Amino acid sequence: MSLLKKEGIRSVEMPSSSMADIAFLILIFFMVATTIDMDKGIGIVLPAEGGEIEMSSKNITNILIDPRGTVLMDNKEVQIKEIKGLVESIQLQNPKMVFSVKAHPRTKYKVYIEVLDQLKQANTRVISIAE
Amino acid sequence: MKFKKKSKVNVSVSTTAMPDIVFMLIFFFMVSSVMRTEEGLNIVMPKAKQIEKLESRVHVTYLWVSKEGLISIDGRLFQVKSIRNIMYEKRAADPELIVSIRADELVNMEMISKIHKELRLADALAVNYSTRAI
Repeated sequence: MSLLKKEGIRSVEMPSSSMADIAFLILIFFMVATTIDMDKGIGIVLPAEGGEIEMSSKNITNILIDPRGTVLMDNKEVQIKEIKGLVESIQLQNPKMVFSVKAHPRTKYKVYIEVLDQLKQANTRVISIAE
Repeated sequence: MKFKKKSKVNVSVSTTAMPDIVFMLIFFFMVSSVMRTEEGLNIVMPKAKQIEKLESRVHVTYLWVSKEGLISIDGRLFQVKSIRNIMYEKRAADPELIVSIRADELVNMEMISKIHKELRLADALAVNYSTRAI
C-alpha cells in the first residue's frame, strides 16, 4: 500500500525537460519550410493604350532580337554581353536616348530577359518595348 | 580557501526560460512567413542579374505562362483574350496592382507581346518579369 502511494505521488508531474527539444524541432521545421518573400524580377511599366508618343529618331536606339537570339543594335550585330557597355557609352553621349527593344515573335523569352537585364544593368531610364 | 567555497555555489545559467524564448521564435516564424504556395504552372524562369524586389505581396498578381502556352492566374487556366477582363477587374479593385509575369524561358515573344497588349488594354501597366538570380 505504502509503495503504491509513493509511486503515485512521484509521477504526478509531467516531465518537461524535453519540451525545449520539441520546441526547437518545430522551430527548425518552420525555418526550413518557409520562404520569406522571394519575389524578384525586372520591373517595367508598359505604355498606356493609345499613349504612343512620336520621338525624333536620333534619340532612339533600336535593339532588335531575331528568333535565333542574335541581337542587332542600330543595325549592327552585337553580343548580348556587350550591350551593357555599348549602352553606357551611348548614354554618356546622349542622356536622352531611349532604347527600344523589339523582338521577333519567335524569339525566346529568355533572350529578351537577358537583353532587358543588360539594359537595366546600364541604368537605362527609358526602355521602350516595341510590338 | 574561502574563495574556493564560494565557487562551489551553483554557477550554471538558468535555462527555465529557454522554452519560452524558443516558443516566441516559433510564433514569430509562424506568423511572419508564408507557406510556399505552388498554385502556378511548372516553369523554369529565366536568369537575370539586375533584379529588384517586389515590395509587397498584397498588390501583386501572378500570371503564369508555361512553355506549352498555358496561362494561369490565381490557380485557374485562362485564354489570352480573357486576361483583359480579369486584369481590368483586379486593376479597378486595386490601383496599385503589379502584374508579375512568371513565364518559362522557352516561351515565344509572340505570347509575351499578346500578354503585353492585353495588360495595356486592362490598364494594368506595372509589370514585373519574374527571374532567378544568377
